[in-house]
Amino acid sequence: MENSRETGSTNDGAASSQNANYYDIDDILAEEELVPVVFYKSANGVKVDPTAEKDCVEKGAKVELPFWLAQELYLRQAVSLSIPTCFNQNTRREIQADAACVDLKSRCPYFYEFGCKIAPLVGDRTIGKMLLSTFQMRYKEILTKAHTTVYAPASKSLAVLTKEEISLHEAARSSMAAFKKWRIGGPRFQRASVLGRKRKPTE
Amino acid sequence: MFSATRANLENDNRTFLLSVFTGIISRHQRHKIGFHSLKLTSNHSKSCKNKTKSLFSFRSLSLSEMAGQSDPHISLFSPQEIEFMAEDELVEIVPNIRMDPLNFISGDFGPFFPQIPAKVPLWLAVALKKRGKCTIRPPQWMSIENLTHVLEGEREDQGAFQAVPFHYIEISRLLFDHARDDIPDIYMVRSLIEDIRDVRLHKVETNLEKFSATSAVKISHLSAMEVNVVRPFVVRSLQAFYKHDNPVVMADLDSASDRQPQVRQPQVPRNAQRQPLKRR
Repeated sequence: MENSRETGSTNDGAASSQNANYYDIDDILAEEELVPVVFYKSANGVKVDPTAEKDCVEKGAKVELPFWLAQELYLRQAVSLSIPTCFNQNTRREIQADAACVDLKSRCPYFYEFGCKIAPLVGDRTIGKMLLSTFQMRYKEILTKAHTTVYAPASKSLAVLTKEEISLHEAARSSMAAFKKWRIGGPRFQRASVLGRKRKPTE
Repeated sequence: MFSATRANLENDNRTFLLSVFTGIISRHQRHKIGFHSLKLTSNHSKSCKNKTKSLFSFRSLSLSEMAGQSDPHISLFSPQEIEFMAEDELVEIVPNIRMDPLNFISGDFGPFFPQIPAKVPLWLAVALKKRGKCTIRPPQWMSIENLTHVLEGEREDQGAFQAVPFHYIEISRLLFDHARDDIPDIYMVRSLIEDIRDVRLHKVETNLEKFSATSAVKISHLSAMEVNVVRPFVVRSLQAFYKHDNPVVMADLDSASDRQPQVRQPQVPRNAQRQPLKRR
């Protein structure tokens, strides 16, 4: 799997050179999310399921593949994509009921990124709207309180946040913490680390 | 547009447009800091009087302290840097020494005569004060009447902010730290300013809840420190709103910032390009 990612991306050298997110760990992890696909063609020498008897995938097989692989296969018209479980009707109904309480992290830690990536491929325009309304509600309910909430890593409200939301929350919290630290004071002048360093004896 | 926004921040000190383009603004501001240090070093070499030299060595210390941002992605400025900028505000001092004019790039200050008030930058005032060469006159707005008035205004009008000096948090902190004997009723003044700050920060937070699917927000009368505290959060959430609000723009944004282009690529050319690989 890892190998095919490597080769796959070196092939489109031009694309990767203009790809600023190429080394972004969050972007890579977001593309690891599984997408259910159906194979149009049979593929030899591929072992998707480790328990499978033969090294081939038959035509019409339903398999879950990580997004980066599914996307490449889809662009070669080898598979058809269907909507991942984290965007199915059940989840949507839960989100409509109360977005702030839905545990998005366990469904998909990169809910928004993944949604943006998958939406154009499955051709579902409602995903975009759903992402926006979800973010709006959750922003209002949880995130705007990020500056004042007392930080408790195990608190329940934080456990349901996706990675994107956590980074927002963290940004707010750390800037507030820096401000409070400044306000309280402490050493006004610190010695630059360069000045204190002792020269190593050269041998 | 950026320069206009920036000019607002600098000159007017009253309006700050929090926009998704803050990255560019921040680069402007870094330039300013670079210029600062340039100015200071040139001062250092120019004025060779012993008296002033010691002042500058103090100043350059505070520069080295904040030379680099610890993490540019989290917050564009550290509170220390905001304080550094606030030190350029002018305050009135009453020196008790005689001293020749000081010529800085930002202007000439002095000459100084005992008991004759003079206007100097805050950092200079603090440095002189530390050496017992002057007393600092607290600014006009730091009177109990004015602060009580502002605090009442903040509490009554939940929607808008009162006009306060752009650097009121930093200036008051510096004066409380270094010139506490020059401020009448310091305990009252200090608690009033802390109340004002808390009320305003709470108000900023309630204001944040009003954001929904907008790419630019205008909040008047925010002060430097308040803007800086919410900046990382606001910028990121506005970006997220912007991205989800408009999928077309999102795609444009992606190509503009050279992000993942694969999704948008039309299928046909892609397949054509992939042809040899497919055969293999």
